[in-house]
Amino acid sequence: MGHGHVARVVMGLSAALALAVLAAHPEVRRLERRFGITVLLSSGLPFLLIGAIFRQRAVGILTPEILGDLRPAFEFGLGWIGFVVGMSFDVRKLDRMPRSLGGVIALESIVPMATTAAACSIALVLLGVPWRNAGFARDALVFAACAAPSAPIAIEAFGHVVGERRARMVGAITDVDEVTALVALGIVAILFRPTVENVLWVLPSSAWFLVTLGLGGVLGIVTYVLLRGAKTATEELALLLGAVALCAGMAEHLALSVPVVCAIAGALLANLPLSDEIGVRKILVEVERPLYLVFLVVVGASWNPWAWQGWAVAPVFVFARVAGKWLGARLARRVGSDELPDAADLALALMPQSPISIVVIVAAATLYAHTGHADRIGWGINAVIIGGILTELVVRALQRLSGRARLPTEAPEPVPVPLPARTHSSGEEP
Amino acid sequence: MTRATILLALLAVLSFAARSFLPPGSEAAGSGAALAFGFLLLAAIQAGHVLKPLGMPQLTGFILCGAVFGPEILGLITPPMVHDLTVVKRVAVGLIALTAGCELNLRSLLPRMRSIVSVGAGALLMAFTLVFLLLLVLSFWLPFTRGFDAGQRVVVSLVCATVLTALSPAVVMGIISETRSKGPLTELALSIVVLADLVIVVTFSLTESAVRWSFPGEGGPGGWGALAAHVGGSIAAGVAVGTIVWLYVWRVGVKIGLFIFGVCFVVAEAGGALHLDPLLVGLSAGLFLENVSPVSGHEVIRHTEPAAMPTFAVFFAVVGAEVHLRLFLAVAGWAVLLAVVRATGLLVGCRVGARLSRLDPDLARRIHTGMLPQAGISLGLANLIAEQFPPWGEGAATLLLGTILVSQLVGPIVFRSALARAGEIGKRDAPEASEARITEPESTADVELRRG
Repeated sequence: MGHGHVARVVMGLSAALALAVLAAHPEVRRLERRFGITVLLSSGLPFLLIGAIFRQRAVGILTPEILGDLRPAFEFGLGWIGFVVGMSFDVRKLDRMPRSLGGVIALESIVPMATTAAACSIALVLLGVPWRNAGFARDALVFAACAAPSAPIAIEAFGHVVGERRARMVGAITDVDEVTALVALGIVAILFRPTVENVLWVLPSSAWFLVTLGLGGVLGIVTYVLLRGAKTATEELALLLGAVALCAGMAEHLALSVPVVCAIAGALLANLPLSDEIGVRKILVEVERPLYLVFLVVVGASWNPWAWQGWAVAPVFVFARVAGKWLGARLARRVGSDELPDAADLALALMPQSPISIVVIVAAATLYAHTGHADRIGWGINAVIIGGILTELVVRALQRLSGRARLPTEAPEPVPVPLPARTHSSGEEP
Repeated sequence: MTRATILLALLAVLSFAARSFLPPGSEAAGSGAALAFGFLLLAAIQAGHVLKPLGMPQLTGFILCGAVFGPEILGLITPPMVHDLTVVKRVAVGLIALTAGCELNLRSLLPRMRSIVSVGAGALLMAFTLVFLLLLVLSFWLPFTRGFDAGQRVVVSLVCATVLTALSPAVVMGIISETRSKGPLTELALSIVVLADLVIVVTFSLTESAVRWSFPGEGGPGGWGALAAHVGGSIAAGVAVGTIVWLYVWRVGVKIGLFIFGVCFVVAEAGGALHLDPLLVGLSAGLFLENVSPVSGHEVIRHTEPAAMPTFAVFFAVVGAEVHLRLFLAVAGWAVLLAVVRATGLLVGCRVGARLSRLDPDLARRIHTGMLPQAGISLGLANLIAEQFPPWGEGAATLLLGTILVSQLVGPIVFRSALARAGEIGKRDAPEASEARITEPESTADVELRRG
């Protein structure tokens, strides 16, 4: 590497670092909340673009060597984000919500999944993808999984529009539909196992289902036992980093979906009596954004914006998803309690696309990277990234058309709201 | 201890089970770095907990964990995994060095500078001389020096003696951080190893130049120009890094720990290409922050402290995984002899230096223990010899790595024991409330040692 090239690499990486600092600044988060934009637009897009530009041979900053060095952070980031999504699946929190919430979540996530799968399938056929191929169904299901999650809302700000209780309900919905997306991805990963040569484990899909659940469960319990023994916050951080890396590494080694296995481990941990639950959640949220930004740089480096098929699928994806969310919200409002906002507010709150969609499509792309049809995976990444931006514009237009107030979305706050104290049967300190 | 042992066994069983997915010898499609990082981090921490009640440093547990689960014994961590963790190791070196530099306030050290220089110089000179003389004698029997003329035997012994004289700021910093030690022994040991690091880098470049002169046609470019670029460039880069961190802390002041971690990554990436020493870059940055900039080095340490445990655990576990046990067995006898002679040289040199500077007798009796450990820089230099001088370098590196292994395993135990006897363990400022959720009792072994 020549000295001029090294200087370019240093300046490029320093610029990325400076941008990361800027994106993590509280003022940026405040602006996100104020203008109601998601992390994808405010911070995510610049990082995707950095990845895409720095990867170009003419620029030569993200060389294959540097990308190789960033690869562990990328794998770890996938796992960490999955773990955070799993940790939001707290059954006790859901128990405090009305019973009808289950039906509401099912409708508002499954309806857009169905509409998106159907519309994207048609788009793929029109692009010449043979529909009899097993990979066709897999791709349609991955698009469906990407359609489920809605961007988290700013509960406090939304509460001013629809009332605090209703805002909390919508917050719980957006938490759980991220889990739904990972469940869908898990099903895809089990039904359509990637081809790995020379493996010693040749199992049917049902056995892989048990392996996925079992691995996530065992690693969740191991994480719990490890964290119970932590003596200091520093050790807690070290153990959490190690546990998530181990989950991600094992899932990758067994060719399972990394965020899915980590989400199972996280969900198990969320429902066990941790002695320092607030501390653990704080660590998870604080580390999430920087990792997500590194993750986006690596995604950007493998992103091919010139694949026109992705641009063609993107409007279909957005239209089908937004229509599905609208329809799902209408149906959900019928089965849901009066504690939900009215159908239009609910639909507008659930329409913005969660950054988890990109995680889902990238996790699928990573899983199937060595199984052929890499071009179609590239279209998918393209469609979901462009779809996220288009969705923001569509939602803005719909809000203006309907004369509704701007419904703010936000990334999770760094300090989580503590859960109410639990009764400890073992007599230990809460 | 029981809990940690069970957890360690459980982690090992889980990893063995997962590895059975692929036939022996084949690697998974991904990098495997996440699996290696996660497993090593968790297993190293548990191994540290297993050894702690025995009065041994956790750091020894980290190294042993890496060695046992590494490629040479159980093979859970494969050579490609170790290679993938190189960047983690480079970042860790930078972070450890930065913290070490931030610990040293030159103004407060000034009154003790005579002791530092006298003891440090005495120890290095004596250890270097004894090890050089022993190597010169051994060169008549060692296979890799067979057929060399007298001049060549001298220069090879010189360069090998330089490597074996190297100390370890990383280990000393690791022990100090782990035991939260504070006191005269802690400060003196850290000051000497940091300054000695610079001396060793310069001396190695000089002796390496002598080797090139003696063996024409071997090795890459070297000499004074390369030395100046290496040392000067590293120090200049360190000052630049220190300035960036200072400006960041001053103007932005949020997520300082993460920012420093990012800076260490950039330094690790660029340093590799520019042939900068990450240890020197980190040390210079830390010294700049503590002694020149308005930002307190301790403020920087406070923000990077949460990363200390994972950094030390993974760094030393990787160091352990890189240990060449089979090679060590081939040279075990010579290696132990060299390690003993090195330790004797350090002990005698410290006593002489301490007497000249009229150092406190208690301190004089213990200061050599901080110089016994070897790790990062000496390993790097030994590997450099293997790469640069292929005909005989590999044999020399085998002997050097074997000797370093002895010091690597024994040194931390002896230094920790000395800190315990000096009553300096746990004397650093009590951690913040959020940090010390549960008060960690001192191990009974420490109390016993102090009474003794």
